[in-house]
Amino acid sequence: MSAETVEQIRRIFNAESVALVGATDKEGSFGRLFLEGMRDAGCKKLYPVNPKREEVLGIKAYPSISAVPEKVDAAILLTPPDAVLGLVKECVANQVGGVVVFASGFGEMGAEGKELEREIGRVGHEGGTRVIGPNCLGFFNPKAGVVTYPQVLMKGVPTEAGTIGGFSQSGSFVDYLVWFLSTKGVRFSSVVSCGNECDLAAEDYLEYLGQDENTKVIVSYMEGVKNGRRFFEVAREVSRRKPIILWKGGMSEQGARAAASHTGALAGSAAIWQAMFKQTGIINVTTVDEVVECAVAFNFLPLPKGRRIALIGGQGGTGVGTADNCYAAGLELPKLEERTVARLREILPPVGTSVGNPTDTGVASLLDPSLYEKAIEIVADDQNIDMLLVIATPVPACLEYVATAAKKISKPLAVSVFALPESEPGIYQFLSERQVAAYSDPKRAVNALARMAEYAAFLKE
Amino acid sequence: MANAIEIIGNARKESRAILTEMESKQLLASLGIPTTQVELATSREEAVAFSKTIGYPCVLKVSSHDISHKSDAGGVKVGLKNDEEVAAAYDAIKASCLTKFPQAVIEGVTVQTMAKPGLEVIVGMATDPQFGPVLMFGLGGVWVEVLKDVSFKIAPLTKSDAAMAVREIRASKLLDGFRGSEPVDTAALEDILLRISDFVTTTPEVKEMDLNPIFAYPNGAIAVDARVILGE
Repeated sequence: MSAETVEQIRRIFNAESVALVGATDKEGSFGRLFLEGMRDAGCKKLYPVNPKREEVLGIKAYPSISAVPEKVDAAILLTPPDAVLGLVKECVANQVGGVVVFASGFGEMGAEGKELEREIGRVGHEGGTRVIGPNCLGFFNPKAGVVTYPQVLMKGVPTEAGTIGGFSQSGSFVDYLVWFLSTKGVRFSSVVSCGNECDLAAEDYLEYLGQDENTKVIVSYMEGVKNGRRFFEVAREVSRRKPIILWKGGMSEQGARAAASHTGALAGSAAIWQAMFKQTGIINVTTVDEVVECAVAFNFLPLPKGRRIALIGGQGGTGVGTADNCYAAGLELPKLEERTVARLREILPPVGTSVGNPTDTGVASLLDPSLYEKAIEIVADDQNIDMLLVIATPVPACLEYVATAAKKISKPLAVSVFALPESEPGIYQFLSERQVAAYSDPKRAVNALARMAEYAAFLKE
Repeated sequence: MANAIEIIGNARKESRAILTEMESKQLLASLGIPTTQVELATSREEAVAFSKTIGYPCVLKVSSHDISHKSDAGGVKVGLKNDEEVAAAYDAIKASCLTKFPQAVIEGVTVQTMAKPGLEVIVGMATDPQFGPVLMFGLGGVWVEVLKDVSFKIAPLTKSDAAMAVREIRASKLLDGFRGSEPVDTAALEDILLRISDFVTTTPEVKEMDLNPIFAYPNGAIAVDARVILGE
């Protein structure tokens, strides 16, 4: 654990004064895009650095970092790679909190670039000016009004603050993650693109987000780890306090390994990452859909106390198929308490409905959509039940009652709507605006709930 | 008795990366892990004398840095019941190994207790390039290679990690007793995992280890063969 690193990242991510090296007003340039983006995000003190201009977009410009009249918390470097080392040294001399290096053309280009990158990292780290990147897309902290992140600016993603924190070794994944999750009603605390990690690395961002009070859920994409021991220790500690959803790329094994022992031959990288996930409680996902479905569930729903699920549906057959999905995911469908059964019988007409687990509200719920809300509240009250999945009819009136009930109960409730996002985009927008964990395929809802139950069990260990 | 640091130092002095079976077992014994008793005999007479003190039945195994697969070289004889069988086994092992590996330097033949059969499991250790020392548990003996039914944990292991490592293998039902056999002492296996975990997290010289097989019993467990490999 490194308290100093956490404080250094905190200063950068919450920068009050930001210098933008390479700011220009040239139409269509990065220099302009960034300046406009940060200005519009509400960055408090913005210092364009450009030796050739008196001012840029009406903001007073400075010839160098050293010329900026106050301490700079974060400097964004939009310069070519060969200028970076000199600038980092200048930042160190001026006690700048950190730099974000966008330039590519370092470690990914061969030995010489690797050496330069290492030197930049060393100079920054030792000098107390921490380096994000190079070859990265920066970070995004809507609450502090710091958006050093071009894609977010370009797409006009909502920039109000939220509770998901993220770090990614793929810059474009950060972009898509923010974009996709935004459409599900999720908002962000801080998200960072790690780049080549010449100084700050995944394990540092994980530790920071673990301590960041605005972050409730951590989402990540990783391919490798710089300091695996530290990552393991940090993940083990952070995971006790908040869920970490991680998509790990590069898990395919390439043939047998040469080793002098059986253990060495079997200890492939995928097996060790899997062990790491289990020991740390990291929620390992394997597709971008799964990242999104889990992030939505962990962000909106309380954790279940156990693995017992109740199904409520408006269509009989799908309940049976979904019950199979539940068992396959390791969930249990217990019998409802007698009291619950009696209360359900009181509200549901005897014809066209069935009471139990699953409970089918049948056509009756189309005639009286409030039955959804009533049935959900009754089932949520059952001592045998830890979580609910409602397979709802794609009728706004029904969904309104489901959304209302989801807010009222204290157990996690996921909704599967019997409609494809392609056929009824409005339905999903309606639900995400009400912060309902909604899925098209019930199997996805089951998976998200099962992952929550797994994590809840890990916390009890 | 030699401790782990001395044993490793010795091998280093001789520029050896692989400890002999005898060294490996002495190392395990110094960690408090039960192993079969091993003595190195350099003559037929010595082999017989050691067999008498260790007790019958016993096992003879060739000891040579040049022969890593002892059985394939005809270098292992088990279930030896008396002096004559031990003497004959000693001669047979030397003859076979020298025929198959004429260049091999044979330092002697080890005489070992013959452990009573138990459920064969493996405890191993490897060094992952990203996460450092990792431990493995699984079904042992030849089943390691065939079934690869193993679980991994990153060191250092907590008590709960050790319990999970043992529980997580697909064939964990075998440990609970199968078709009338008694359940094996999983606590003894967890104890071995924890002792290896403590050792390797403080001894970066060790690169890989195999305790294979370990015979697991209703009461206790014993490492019957062991191999320790040192890093650069």
